[in-house]
Amino acid sequence: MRRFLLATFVFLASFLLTAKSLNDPADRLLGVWEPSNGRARVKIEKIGTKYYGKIVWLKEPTDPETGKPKLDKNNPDESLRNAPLKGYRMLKDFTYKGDDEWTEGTIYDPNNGSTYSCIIKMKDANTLEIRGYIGIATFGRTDVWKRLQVPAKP
Amino acid sequence: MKKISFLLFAASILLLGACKNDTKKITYTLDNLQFNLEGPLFEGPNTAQVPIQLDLAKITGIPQATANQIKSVKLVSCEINAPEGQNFNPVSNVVLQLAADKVDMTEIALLNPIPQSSKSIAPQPKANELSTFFQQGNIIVLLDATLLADQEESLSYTGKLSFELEVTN
Repeated sequence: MRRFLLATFVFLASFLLTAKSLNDPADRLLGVWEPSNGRARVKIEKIGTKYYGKIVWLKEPTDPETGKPKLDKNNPDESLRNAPLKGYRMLKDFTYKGDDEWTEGTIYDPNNGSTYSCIIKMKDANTLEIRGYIGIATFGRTDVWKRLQVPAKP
Repeated sequence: MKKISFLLFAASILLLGACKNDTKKITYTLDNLQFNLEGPLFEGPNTAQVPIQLDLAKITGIPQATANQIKSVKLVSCEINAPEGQNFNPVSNVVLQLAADKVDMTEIALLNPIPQSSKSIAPQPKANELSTFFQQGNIIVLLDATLLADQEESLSYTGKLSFELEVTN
């Protein structure tokens, strides 16, 4: 009887833990997303308790000037300017605030090498509003990202 | 009068000196970090995470050491090794980063490009101040390894990071 009770307890505990991790509202952000210009795809993953996104696909992966993979040539860190753009972690340090919002993160714009404060708002399961700003969120720019339905390469 | 003023001044200097917390330098090494990049792996950066729980008392040698006793932390050296019979040829560059719950992710070392046929590499540490990570207690060491091509097989490397800490007694 004791053994049965213990087994039932272990089963229920593991079931509840699994259900909790699957239903964690913060984890809805995980996946591959495409900005409105369709020129890149960003995979959002969880590291520790925070969320990060890296470029996993580029519409034009090669630099027309060199014929080689595009590099992060505008990076303010000179030592990273010859690192490939594909794979760059452009979304960093987002935490889930509740109400479909992830805050306290930053977004990197590889076109000018600038990093902005950023808020991510989930409009629905497949749509994100990404607002990058300097200083106050009121003065910023919002882009709409769509979830990529087909699994992409990480 | 002059003599009294001098004596008072000397006494206050002595008093200040006695109140001042002594700081000491410690070298702390995170050894045998297992960076596992599980296949299939894709061209571009692939990430391995190693969560670390820091025991401040053990690191500082001070029983019941608190976070605010850590005044400064710098990465001083870094080494990553390929397993026996393997090398870093599938990887073009590596970036090491630290992440923690209440601190922004920070690059701590990088090597770009990796010399051909390397079996052991020493990414160049950056001069970042890392005390806020150590004050957290739990940190994650990340290895972003940029692969030159897709591959099915997993990759596994071991790492050794040495930090120099300044702590108050």
